[in-house]
Amino acid sequence: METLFKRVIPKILLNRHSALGLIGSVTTKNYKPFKFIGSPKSQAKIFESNEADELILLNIDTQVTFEELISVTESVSREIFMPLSVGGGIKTYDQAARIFELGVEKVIIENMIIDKPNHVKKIANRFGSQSIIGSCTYWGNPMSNIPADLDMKGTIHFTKLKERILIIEDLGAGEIMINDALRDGLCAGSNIMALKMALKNTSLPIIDSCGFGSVEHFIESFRQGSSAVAVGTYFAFIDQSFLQLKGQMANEGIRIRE
Amino acid sequence: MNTQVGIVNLAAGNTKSVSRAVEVFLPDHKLINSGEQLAGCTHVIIPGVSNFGSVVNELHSKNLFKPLQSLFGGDKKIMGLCAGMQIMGISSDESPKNYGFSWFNFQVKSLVNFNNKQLFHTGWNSVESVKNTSESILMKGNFYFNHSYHVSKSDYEFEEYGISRFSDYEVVSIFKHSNILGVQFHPEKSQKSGLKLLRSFLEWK
Repeated sequence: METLFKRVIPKILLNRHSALGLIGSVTTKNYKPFKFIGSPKSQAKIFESNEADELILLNIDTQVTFEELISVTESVSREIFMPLSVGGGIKTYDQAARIFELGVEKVIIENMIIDKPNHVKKIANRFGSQSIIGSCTYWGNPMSNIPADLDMKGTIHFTKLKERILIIEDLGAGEIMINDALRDGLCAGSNIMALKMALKNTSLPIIDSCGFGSVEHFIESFRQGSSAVAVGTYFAFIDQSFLQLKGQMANEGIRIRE
Repeated sequence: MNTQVGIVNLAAGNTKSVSRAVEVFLPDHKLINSGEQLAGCTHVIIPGVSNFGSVVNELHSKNLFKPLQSLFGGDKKIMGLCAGMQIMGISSDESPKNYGFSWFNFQVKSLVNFNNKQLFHTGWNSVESVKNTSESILMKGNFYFNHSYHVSKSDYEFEEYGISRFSDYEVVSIFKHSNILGVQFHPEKSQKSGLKLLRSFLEWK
């Protein structure tokens, strides 16, 4: 019997504004920066007042340095009393340790899984498995190749997803986030096929990410068994409040924290 | 006497978030790095997001283990969070070579499914008060959990406690016993309900 509340986790994606030079929060489409929304700090404040269940801070700009990520993380974590997960550019155990010092609950790791698996194990040993979200970005169409111009480095093909999930579990992560680069930013629903496959192959909680555009998409993902959904674009453009979203899901019988 | 709060400074932990949450009520608190600093504290918080063994080892390396261990039954009010609560027992499946304060005769056990695979109690869950004697600071509510080892309801008869249901488990999510308050969840990350609990702890005389 599962009794946890289903979680809705806003994603704040970090990217440097080309003209202004400052690091802001953006929405993406197929992992390409699409629209500049504003400062990560004020976004975090909004999500805190809306009582989001958790928050994800994800750096998607390879030009943003680790020190810059640290300083944004610090400014965001000051504003919130909810769990914070940070990722994008955490390359080593030592960097993860510095992120935890800021009061962050979980690091999101992706390339480290392949580049430095021993560092992942070390994080699990020192900080506990519950402090690691293993993320995999995949190309969600099994019938087509990954486009050559896809910005997100390390994206795997749908057919490799199962293997990657087993690796993540093996290294000692406590949660798995699956991001469909194909559906990212399109608001047409998440990849249910991938979600089902992930659930079949691991007992870890799954954070379903990319593609959410309507309350039906949330309901479908939760009904299929995701523990949480991570959303960026949905809260950026659609004038939809957390309260409304939660009310609608509760009406459909989804166990939501109210 | 004025409330003086000390937060045990653990590198492998959520010291910073706990400190920020306490700041909401008491801007003036100190981080505890040595046994001597415990003097003068009326309330002590032991944070912890990490591994049982990491917390125990760090306390030993800072010569804080024994000074903290001796606080049981004393005047100071102690609050342990997550791993900081688990180390109040004897030992944990998570790191069998390490021993906790042994204030309570419980062993921290792994959460597993029917296939013996590790389960993670990650997310928001409700707390049901099971045994609640006085005008207690134990409260029902929804709190944020993130752990894969737990104290079972049947392991120890606390003076007061509450549980949370997860999978087939009844996890002890909060208990009060003597001068000790233990919570398995993270009040510092549980928004309003968490801050409310922290305030109750700080007002505990």
